[in-house]
Amino acid sequence: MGPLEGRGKETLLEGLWNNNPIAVQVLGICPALAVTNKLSTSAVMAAAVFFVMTGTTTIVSSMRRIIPQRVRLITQMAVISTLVILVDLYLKAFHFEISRQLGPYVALIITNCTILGRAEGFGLQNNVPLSALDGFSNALGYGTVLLVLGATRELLGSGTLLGTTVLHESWYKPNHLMVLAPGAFIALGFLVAAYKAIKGPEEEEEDTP
Amino acid sequence: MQNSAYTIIFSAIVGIICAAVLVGADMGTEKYIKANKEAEKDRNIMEVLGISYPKDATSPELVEFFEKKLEERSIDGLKVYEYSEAEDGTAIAVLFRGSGVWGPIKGVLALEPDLRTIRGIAFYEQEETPGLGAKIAKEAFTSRFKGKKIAPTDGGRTDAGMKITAPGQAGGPREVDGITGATMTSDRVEKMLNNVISDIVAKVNGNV
Repeated sequence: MGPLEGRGKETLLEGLWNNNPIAVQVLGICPALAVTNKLSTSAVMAAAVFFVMTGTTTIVSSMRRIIPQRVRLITQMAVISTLVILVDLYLKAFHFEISRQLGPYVALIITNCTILGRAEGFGLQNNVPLSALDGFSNALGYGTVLLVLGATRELLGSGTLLGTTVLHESWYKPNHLMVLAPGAFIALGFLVAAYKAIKGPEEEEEDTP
Repeated sequence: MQNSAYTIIFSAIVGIICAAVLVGADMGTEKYIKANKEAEKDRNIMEVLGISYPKDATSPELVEFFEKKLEERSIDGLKVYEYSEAEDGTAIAVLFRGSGVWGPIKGVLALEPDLRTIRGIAFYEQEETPGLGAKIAKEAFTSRFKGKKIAPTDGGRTDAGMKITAPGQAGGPREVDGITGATMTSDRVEKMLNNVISDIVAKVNGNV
């Protein structure tokens, strides 16, 4: 059996589609709602989460045999925080304008429960390649939702995509609601509904305790 | 192996590694971040003074450009940026700050060479209520200040200051319309403006 233990495809599909962090688990929606009023900020946030999530699951998984049980959460938080601060410093130094637009939300990736969830729930129990793949697929699933939300909100809210006018004001009146926070909730609601419609009816759900 | 000593040593090592990585990254990026902040301040100042600057310049280039165009002077502790290439003398810009409704507000005020007339104003950092007070950062609000006076035009030094009135009520040369639904923000902006205005009138006038 290879390093992926024959679970590669399953792991990839889990995060990307079947168990998408936002669409299914509705986790980590604070940044998903806050920074998605423009496609450009959504893309940078997706990239940042991608780096942090893949990095975290890989590092945590490689340390899984030596992390003492009692401090495992703190260790994971230390890894996440370090990676997030690295991203934040990088953006502040080399992409100042975008880092200003994202404001505190880059630093707030630390509190994105999806990342800690993947590290704790998957990285601690599985080998490094599989965990890296899990982080990769979850980050990709997360990022995709961010991009879809960002594109939808920018298009409907400002009539632009990446700052270029797509829906001209002469015939489309931008709906400012989509740029504001309530619009984020509405867009996310439609997105989750669309996802459920495509995915089809739920199979028998496990009883939640 | 899972005893307390191991746990403590493990935590210490993780802490040291993380700290080392971060200190390294911080030292590596410090000069860029500093240049970016400096450039942002410079950009704001040139923006209100109406100086055209290269838009795609890197931060260090912009700082250099700024230092060539403007002169920074400190008058009794008040930092004044002088732009001597204005049409009829030296226009100045002064940074100001004050507390807003939710957090600090920072801005730049630029005056024409007569040191009485507002050349431009910008609020470049604010956390006011989105959709209401946050409109102070918008051109629609800041352009209302253009050409207004900060003190009586007869040269009197007492009674300097301006008024931010209820929306639609501004009439005089020292009155500016406030923002609908953002009385608290308007009041605070008025207060911080008057602070910096009295500072300017006391320290700069007759000193340039």
